[in-house]
Amino acid sequence: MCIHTRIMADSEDLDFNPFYKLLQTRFMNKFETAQKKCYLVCIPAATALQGININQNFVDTHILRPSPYFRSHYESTDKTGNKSIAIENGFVQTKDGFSVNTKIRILSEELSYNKDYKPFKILIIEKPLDPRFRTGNFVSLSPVDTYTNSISFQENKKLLFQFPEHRVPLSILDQNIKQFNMNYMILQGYLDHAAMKLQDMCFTATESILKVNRNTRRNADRRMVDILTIAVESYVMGCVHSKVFPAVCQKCCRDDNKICSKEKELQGVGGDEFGVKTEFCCPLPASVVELARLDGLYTPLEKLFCLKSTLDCISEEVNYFAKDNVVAGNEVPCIASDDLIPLLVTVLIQSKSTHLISNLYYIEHFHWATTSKDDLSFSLVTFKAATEYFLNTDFSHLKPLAPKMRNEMTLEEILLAKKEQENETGEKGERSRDSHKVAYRTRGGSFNRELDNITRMIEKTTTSPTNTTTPMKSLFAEYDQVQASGFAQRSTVVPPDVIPSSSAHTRLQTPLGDFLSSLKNDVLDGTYGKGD
Amino acid sequence: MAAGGTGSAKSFNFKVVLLGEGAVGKTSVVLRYVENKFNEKHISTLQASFLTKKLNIGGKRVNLAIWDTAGQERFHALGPIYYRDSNGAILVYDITDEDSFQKVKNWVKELRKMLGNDIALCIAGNKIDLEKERHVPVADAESYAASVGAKHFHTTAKLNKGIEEMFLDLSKRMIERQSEDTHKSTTTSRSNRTKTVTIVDDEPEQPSGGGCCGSS
Repeated sequence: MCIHTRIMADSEDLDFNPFYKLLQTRFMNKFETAQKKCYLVCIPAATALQGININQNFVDTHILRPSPYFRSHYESTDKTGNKSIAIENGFVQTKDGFSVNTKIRILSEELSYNKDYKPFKILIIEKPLDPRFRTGNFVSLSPVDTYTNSISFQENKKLLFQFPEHRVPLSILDQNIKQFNMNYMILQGYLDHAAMKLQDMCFTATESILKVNRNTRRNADRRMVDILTIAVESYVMGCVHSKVFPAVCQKCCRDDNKICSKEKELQGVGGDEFGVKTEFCCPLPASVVELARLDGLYTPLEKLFCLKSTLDCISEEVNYFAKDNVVAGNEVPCIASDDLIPLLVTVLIQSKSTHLISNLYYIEHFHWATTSKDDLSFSLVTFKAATEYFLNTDFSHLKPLAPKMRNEMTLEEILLAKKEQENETGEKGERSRDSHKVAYRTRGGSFNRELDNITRMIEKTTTSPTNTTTPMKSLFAEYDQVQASGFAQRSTVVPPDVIPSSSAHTRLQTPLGDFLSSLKNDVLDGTYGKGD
Repeated sequence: MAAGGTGSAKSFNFKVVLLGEGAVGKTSVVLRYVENKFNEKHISTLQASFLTKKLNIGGKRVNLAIWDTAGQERFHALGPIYYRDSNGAILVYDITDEDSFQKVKNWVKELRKMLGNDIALCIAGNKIDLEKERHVPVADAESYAASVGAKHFHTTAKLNKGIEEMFLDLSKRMIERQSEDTHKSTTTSRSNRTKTVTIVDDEPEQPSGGGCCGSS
């Protein structure tokens, strides 16, 4: 667990909980007794402990023994044992001995075993069992809690430069970066050496920064160390991107080209042809747009997060679809790795990434700050598995479905279909008997209505900036800047098969935008499954 | 990426790969294990390809990252990409399907060949609720597991039996291996050149006993 975005999300992590820390130090004897006797340990979430006086009374109230009389009832472990609670439907209900009787939500349970491997319960609860413990400013949150998520190069740069004490190490780092950019020659076949050099640069800078940083000097919160380690790497890699990434692209150009030509050949092939289960066969526009951002990002860290958010989008879109289409009484199926690979192959094809292999190589060899065992690493491995499968499997027998049979349509196809429909309306009568138009007509007004909606939205999102009140931001804006500064590996930027409606991060927070929601909620008569 | 972060004196991060043929119930086994009945978000999630579970064993905190491995025949060549750097593996077969047990044997052979004894193995004979339809004799499965240095467990995701015991045993063995390896770097690098920055906790440990803040 290294990336501090997860620190925020994982506020219940006991490693950083002040009460749990005290149980392992000041109140260790009590905690060991609790484990030995298999007592219940209730730990309020770290954020709810601010201003709390954690004393013996607090500890005795939150470590409870099972009631000899009632199941799921517990008693405090102070001398009198006069406080009692009950666990009911995911809540702790305080009963006798508390200043007020309240229901406190259980956030999670940590499966716990004592030294004899007998199970006992550690519950992470929303707040302390009694509000009267809030009596002073005894526990304050770690300084790390005041920092916001930093994934991008700019955010990490800002973070590093906000500490005045970093001035000297950062100026040395800047000199090293400048020297690398001006004097270091990256040789074909010696990318590993460049990676090693940059890693050493990051390591030395991180060490110097940790020595002077006021937070890491004062306490040894691992999270702050991780935040700074990541920020240094992000800063260094952002500064050398225009020198390193083109070299990576050169090394991987053969496989990148192979992927590109396969992507072109397989445009329009349905997901079921790649082995996607029928219940998961659905359009994945948000995932395609998310992955289409990859080439335009600067640092390996940003790129790695893009891979993860693409997989998250796939899960989200498939979940929506599967839940909407599950037969009553049946369980909604889960996405396992066997499902994820073919789903990802369909997204790869539509996103038309031109440097996919280069990006994966770049992340794998030029990113050191996270572990190889977390969800980010899993994302990278899943992409590696999917690209390897895609590269090494013969799909030449697969043929694109006819447009009317497919779930996904390209921008050009949607506009063409609209045009055809307009022509058709102009010539009604004659062509209405044409057999190949029967499908359109049987789908009736709903199809036309949906096509109108989609076309309107496409027109809206592709209107010239001069005609709109809000300025348009290119999906590849960052990339364009890099190109302008000399990096011109990508000769043509191929748009993905769906229209990006807003920034990807906004999309992730609000699951589906208007455009995507309308696709999801479409009223086409046909289902999204296999066209038969 | 760094392979570091495997653990410190009080916490361990382990990667566990899940292997087994389709329909043996491996997803159900792991979902049953990680289910968090207190977290609504967790209940609504439908992905089973990467799951986590936190344990506390004798005061040591263990974070399990459970990686589902693409097990279909067509993805067989991708196996090494998934199980690289793993500390443990759960190999699941269906007791009513002899062929699925044979597949487990193939996986074990491959894991031992690629990772040697660095990986702790558990073999799960799943669906023991269908004991009447058993096609894999208990004695055969147990003696095979013993012969390859693995532990065998009888599980049923349907009735939630044998699963917690299996993961506890695997965790215990991974902790033991990790402790044995303390002479090695705790951040053994994939590329043998990963560096980590170590920090020293200079917050003095308080003696156990009563609090210093007085009673409220």
